[in-house]
Amino acid sequence: MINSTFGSQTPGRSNMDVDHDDIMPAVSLSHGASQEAIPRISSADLEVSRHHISVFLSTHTAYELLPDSGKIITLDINLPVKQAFHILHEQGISVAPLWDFCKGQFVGVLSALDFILILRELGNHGSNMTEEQLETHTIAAWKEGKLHLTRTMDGDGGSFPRQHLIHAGPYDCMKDVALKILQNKVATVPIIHYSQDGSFPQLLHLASLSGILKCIYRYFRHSLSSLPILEQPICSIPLGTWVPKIGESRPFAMLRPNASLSAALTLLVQAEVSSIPIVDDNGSLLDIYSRSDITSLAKDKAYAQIHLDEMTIHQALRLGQNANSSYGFFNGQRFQMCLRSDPLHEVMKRLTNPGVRRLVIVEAGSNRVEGVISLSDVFNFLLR
Amino acid sequence: MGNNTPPQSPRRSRSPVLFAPQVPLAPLPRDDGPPFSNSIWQNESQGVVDHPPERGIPTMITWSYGGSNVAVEGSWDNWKSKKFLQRSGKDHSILLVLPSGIFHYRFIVDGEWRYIPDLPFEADEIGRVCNLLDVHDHVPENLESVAEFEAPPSPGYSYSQVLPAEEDFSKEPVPVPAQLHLTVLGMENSDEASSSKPRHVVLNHVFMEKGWASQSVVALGLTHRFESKYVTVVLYKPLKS
Repeated sequence: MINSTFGSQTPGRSNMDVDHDDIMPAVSLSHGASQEAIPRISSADLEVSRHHISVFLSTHTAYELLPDSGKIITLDINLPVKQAFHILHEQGISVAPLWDFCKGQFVGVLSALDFILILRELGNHGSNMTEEQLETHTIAAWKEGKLHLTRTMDGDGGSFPRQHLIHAGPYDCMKDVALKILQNKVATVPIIHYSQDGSFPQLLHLASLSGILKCIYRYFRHSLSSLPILEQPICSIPLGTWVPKIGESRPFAMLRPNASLSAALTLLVQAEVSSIPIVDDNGSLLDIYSRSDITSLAKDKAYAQIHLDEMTIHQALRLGQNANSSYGFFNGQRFQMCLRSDPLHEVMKRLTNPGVRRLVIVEAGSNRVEGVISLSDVFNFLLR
Repeated sequence: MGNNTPPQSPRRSRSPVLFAPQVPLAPLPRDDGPPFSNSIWQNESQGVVDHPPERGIPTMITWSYGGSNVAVEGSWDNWKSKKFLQRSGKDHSILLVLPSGIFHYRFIVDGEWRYIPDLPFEADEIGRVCNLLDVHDHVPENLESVAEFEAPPSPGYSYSQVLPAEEDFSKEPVPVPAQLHLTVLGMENSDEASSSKPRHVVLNHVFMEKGWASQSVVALGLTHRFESKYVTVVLYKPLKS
């Protein structure tokens, strides 16, 4: 049973966007928690912090994001979608740039969202695509069809059709890269270096907000006093997406473990969120279902044997747990939690861990879900 | 191809010398711990696991501009303590063990605040100047000391070798030199930035996955260098049957 509705949501707006009207540094806490007043942040502190971070990001380039020795998996655009699915699963990645031999250029990326859309297409009885066609349907054909599909959508939460690769150069400043990621609502931006005549693109790195945050954190962690905003508890800052109180009608995406996989995928696409907390009847956090979890369906070709309506989220998550890849795990855990009283720098530190893109805010002891803070929330706040 | 082994390249560096320790050493105590106590988490079955303890990296700080009493203080302990440097000849130096990151520090030479103008420095809002120290957990490659960045001269003989003909392709290919087997491909994927550095000898060679002939998809791998970083790109390509 879906715990929230989202029909009234304004089209194209992400559920994870900071919403200044609804999220307030409220003093009144529920569940009998402490009634101490939470310090309001001064706008001077905010300005100083934002200024320092802006200066840092403008004076450091994307080159510094590159690891000393990195590895990137790419796919030929003429690969069948089904094999691409398996490759992503085996390699434990959720996004891969696409190479077109004819053009001699990188032309796009294949991501978990593409697979979610493909699986929904398969389940959609009115669609033209069948199981057998999946064997031969190439990534190129899928991207063509997707362009057509999104053009005919009425802004029903669909992202605008992209016809060119969003990328950045190694000498672009980190601020531009972060803004590109936020404005285009993607998770990664390939860093590509073009030779003088543009004929030989050199793929260098897949930049993400996580890598940029790691640089920021590393630079400022030993001089936190220069960024006073980092000492503030996250509940006092307008940051993250919070579960609405009684009486508020703002939607918050959560699901029970016995909800169908089809409901989860629909929610991921329409609410434009990258993950959904899975809670029990008390609202306590059990697990989290992310967009990238879709690749675990490639294990044993599960996607061929299931109907999305009949598989529950619980079963889908069990599939992924037996996989050997450690993608998405940190210290053996699929998700990370934090408290509303945690200071911002602690939240940032956790977000720099590899594979962690969001933290679930829970109540101490009961693990009741109070909200979610993601990397894009933090950057939207810091770069405003 | 001719000789593939790169010449030995001596490393020079101008910043404080960094060493990669063989045994992790205990870092200096830091006071930026979490404000709430860890006991909150013990009640929960899936509590947050702390970061693994940070590796301290031995870092040498040297003052070569004279003076009899030289001390250093820095942001590694929030400017709380002054550490005196040891004198040897004209230099004063001290070895600190620090976690990876950026630090501000300054010297106190015979009672006066000083900084080293040859090293990176920064002034704060009041106009006090500190040096900046960037502690890496690896030794960054120094481009100037790598000799093969210079293009080698043309070989003495002429370029008159003919392209291979049909019968050449039926012969056994020349065996691959042993060094070319040392590739980073086929290693475990990880999000950690510290993949091992590829040897220079495998750069700009295209590697093909073993046993590809029977499959419909082949993996090609190429490692190239961009400035002082290495990038390995793996491309999965369909094979026409």
